[in-house]
Amino acid sequence: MLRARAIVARRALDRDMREEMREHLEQSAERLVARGMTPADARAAAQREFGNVGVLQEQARDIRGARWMHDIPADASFALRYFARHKATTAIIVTVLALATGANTLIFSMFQAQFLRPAPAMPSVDAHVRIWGRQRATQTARWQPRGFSITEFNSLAERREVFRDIAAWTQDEVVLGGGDRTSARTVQAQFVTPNFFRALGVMLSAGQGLRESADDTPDMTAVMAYAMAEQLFGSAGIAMGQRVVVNELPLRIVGVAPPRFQGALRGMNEPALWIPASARAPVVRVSPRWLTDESALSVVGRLAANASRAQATGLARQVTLASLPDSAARVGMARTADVIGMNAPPPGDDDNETMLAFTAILGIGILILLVGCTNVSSLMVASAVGRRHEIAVRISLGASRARLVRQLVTESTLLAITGSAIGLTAAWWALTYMMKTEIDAVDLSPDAGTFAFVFVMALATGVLFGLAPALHAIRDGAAAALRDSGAGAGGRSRLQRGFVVAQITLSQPLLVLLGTMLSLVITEYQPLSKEMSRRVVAMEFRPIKTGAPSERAEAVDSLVPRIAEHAAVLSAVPDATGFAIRGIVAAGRGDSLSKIVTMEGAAPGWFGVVDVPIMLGRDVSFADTVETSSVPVVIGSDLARQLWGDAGAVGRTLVSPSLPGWNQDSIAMTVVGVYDATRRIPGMSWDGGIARGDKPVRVYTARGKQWRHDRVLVRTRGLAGPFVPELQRFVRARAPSLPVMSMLTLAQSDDRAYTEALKNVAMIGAAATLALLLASLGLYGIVSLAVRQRTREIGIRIAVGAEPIQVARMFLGSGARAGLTALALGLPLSVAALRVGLAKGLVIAPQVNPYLIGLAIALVLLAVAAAATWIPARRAALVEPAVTLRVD
Amino acid sequence: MPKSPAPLLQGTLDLIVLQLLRAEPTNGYDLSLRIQAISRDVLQVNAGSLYPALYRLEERGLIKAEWRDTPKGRRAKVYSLTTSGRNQLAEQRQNWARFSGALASILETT
Repeated sequence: MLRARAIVARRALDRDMREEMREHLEQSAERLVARGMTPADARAAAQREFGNVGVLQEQARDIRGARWMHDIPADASFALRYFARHKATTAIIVTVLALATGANTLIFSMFQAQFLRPAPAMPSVDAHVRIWGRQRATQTARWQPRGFSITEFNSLAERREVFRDIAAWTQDEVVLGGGDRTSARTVQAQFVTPNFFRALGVMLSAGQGLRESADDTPDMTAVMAYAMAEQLFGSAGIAMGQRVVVNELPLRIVGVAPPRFQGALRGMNEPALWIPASARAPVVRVSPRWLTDESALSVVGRLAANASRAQATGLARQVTLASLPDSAARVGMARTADVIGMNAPPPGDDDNETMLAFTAILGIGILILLVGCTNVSSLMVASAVGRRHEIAVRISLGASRARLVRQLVTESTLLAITGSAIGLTAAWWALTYMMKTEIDAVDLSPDAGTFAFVFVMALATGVLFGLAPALHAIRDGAAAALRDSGAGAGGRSRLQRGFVVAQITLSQPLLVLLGTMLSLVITEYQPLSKEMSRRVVAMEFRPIKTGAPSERAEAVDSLVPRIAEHAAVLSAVPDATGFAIRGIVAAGRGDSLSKIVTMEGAAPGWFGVVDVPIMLGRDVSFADTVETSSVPVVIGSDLARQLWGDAGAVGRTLVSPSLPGWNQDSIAMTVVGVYDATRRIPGMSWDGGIARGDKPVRVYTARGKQWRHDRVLVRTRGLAGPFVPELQRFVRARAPSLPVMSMLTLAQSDDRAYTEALKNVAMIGAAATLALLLASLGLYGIVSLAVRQRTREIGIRIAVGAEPIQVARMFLGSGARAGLTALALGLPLSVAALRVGLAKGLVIAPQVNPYLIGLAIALVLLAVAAAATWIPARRAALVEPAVTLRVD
Repeated sequence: MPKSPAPLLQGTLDLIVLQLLRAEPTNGYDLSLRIQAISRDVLQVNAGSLYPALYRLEERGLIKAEWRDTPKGRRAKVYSLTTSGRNQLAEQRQNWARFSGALASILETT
């Protein structure tokens, strides 16, 4: 009770106590006056007899408890005055905490948006569920994800007591033209059941939406995405009733989705259109029986009021089991289903992408916080060591250790609060800005929960890391501290040095990993030459379900020369692709110089379309497709130089022996041409299994016609962009059974890849800069404090004849030693981090040797350490000895 | 020659305060005078020891305090025993009797 009063009525209790002691003194003085003393003498004697009122009052407060309530305002005020006197150190500590807090907030917010939140503009309703289907081919095979057929969907929809509402969709890429006639674009479209928006509880921002009718006639309407409507028509309202052309067919816009809506789930690749499922057959040019014949539907639903997920799961499993033919069941095939939350990760996924990302993100967040906190702690250790004189004096005046610790903790708490507040504010601005400027597939709005969590974490770590130096500082007795403090020996703290080493050690693996990823992005994504990429269209055809593979290949191959007949077309060829990896040796060479190469199938004229000149010999030709004893190949100029130097390569023979364990025959190859390997080659290449770190060496041949039969490159006379809609009409007229899946100029797909790569570079660059900034700020801060503490020593050395530059070099040496120790410790950590990164697939070995990157980063860190040490040392060395010796 | 005051044995001040407050509630100053008088100047307790003891006992709920007007027209803080204080006093008196009896027995041996 008294303790409660001690907190609540502190002032009243203090007043009581003062009055009580005053009364005691008065009574004592009266007694002495009665003995004959003068009033003045009596009062003085009573005071002496009583003792130190202030100390007594402090003791009384200690007994009452809740001293801290009284001390906090005083401690805070003292702390603020201290910060004002040491602006630079305070600024550095606050900056470090702000950086660490801000970075962590961004990381956790983005993680939450990516993996935990509902999709943008989706209402967060517990009853919304996703029905996730799986199938395995045999008893021992792994479960694979599986969609649902319309029969299964209808069976589920019938059971209104379990699913109040249920909707389905499937997604395709379509070519959208309309509004802006100069270029068609490839977009994602979801083909949905008509009740899609209603079932999800999503309100359209314009229009009535899709018609819910019972008949199966194709409903050629669409709901358009908000951003697309704004882009094409200026506003959602204007888009209503407009016609757009999708895969050459007109559709009428009957609704516009709410802003930022992009489907029921995250990561749907931002569909631009929602089209009734009944229209899929004509638009995508598949058989109308796709609904019944294929299990292509993704299903979401809303549980009925009294239905549980377990109940729904039971029903879903029943339905999927019923859909399994007996014959399949007999050979061990199985199907199952689970009803899960809308945002939950799919079940049964061991190598879950979510878990990997979660671990990586958490790891990075913790690493950044750790780096930030070691910074702060080392700075506070240095600061506390520098205040030993002050602390010693206070101990001699009677302050208890607990009191001093409380005061130091108050200081670190204030710093933690300030730093976190700044960091959180910066993160909030950043998130809001990112939301405004990007049509994101995720919901990035700042979340109170995340912010509170990060704030508490930052506060706790800030206080904890402030406590350690506080305890360290008051560990020694007052006498020892007073003896020590005058001589400026405070900078020798082993703890301080240890923190510097820990700083660089921890930063190194992070920077090496980031540097590796950065170099990978930079070297991997070089843009194609604009001259070429703007004049080449890549057409991809949907694989046809019916017919043998050779028939399909024939269909595309026979289309190609007909495309080339068009007046606007310069040439058309199937795209090249890798089909094998082989080891090769130059025939007739004494040594055993061998290389691993990717065999690529290229059609005649391909090199011309992609602007890669043939420097020597000839291109592949149709004659090469005939079986002969030796395979005619076109090799790169780099390989030619490696094998035969400046002597000609044309006519030479390469041997590819059959290797044990590789299921390949031994073949001989004759070089018929050499292409310019310095040119960037577009398109995909299968390089699975190629030795990591080597640039893939490509060898082209027409043998076996092993080029792509589903992708054609068309080189136009003028710019390709405006030609795309015409090209699509042309192809459809001549090959109606070959549905075009996508049609993009190489420039467009390159731009997409490049924008993606730039985004990655920006993010990685920001992370790397942050890590380096944290490391360098911490280093600079500690070292300049250490120099400051040894200012007396510097003054003495200069006074007895040392050159200022010698003194400065002394610090540089010690700083370099600390840096080298840390680098030596960090090296195995970096190697380990790189190994883990490669194993987990976080990084692919880039063309630059990662160890080279590690060395470069080590040099950078060393340079930063040197600069951090040199600048303050030089500053100190330039001060007059008389001035430095005055400093305590 | 008057003997110099004896040092208080540790832990006995609480017992002394409780005992004297049981006899009559009083303020801190009067209590210090009473200790000196009853012990015939053997024990002299200064403010620096007495008040912390009073606050300690009050914090433990063994005594309570209230402000009263003095005959001289001033206000004084008067301490008195609580029920817990009475019980605690009885217990401490018993402990002291046992202790002092044991000590006496030891000191009587040759």
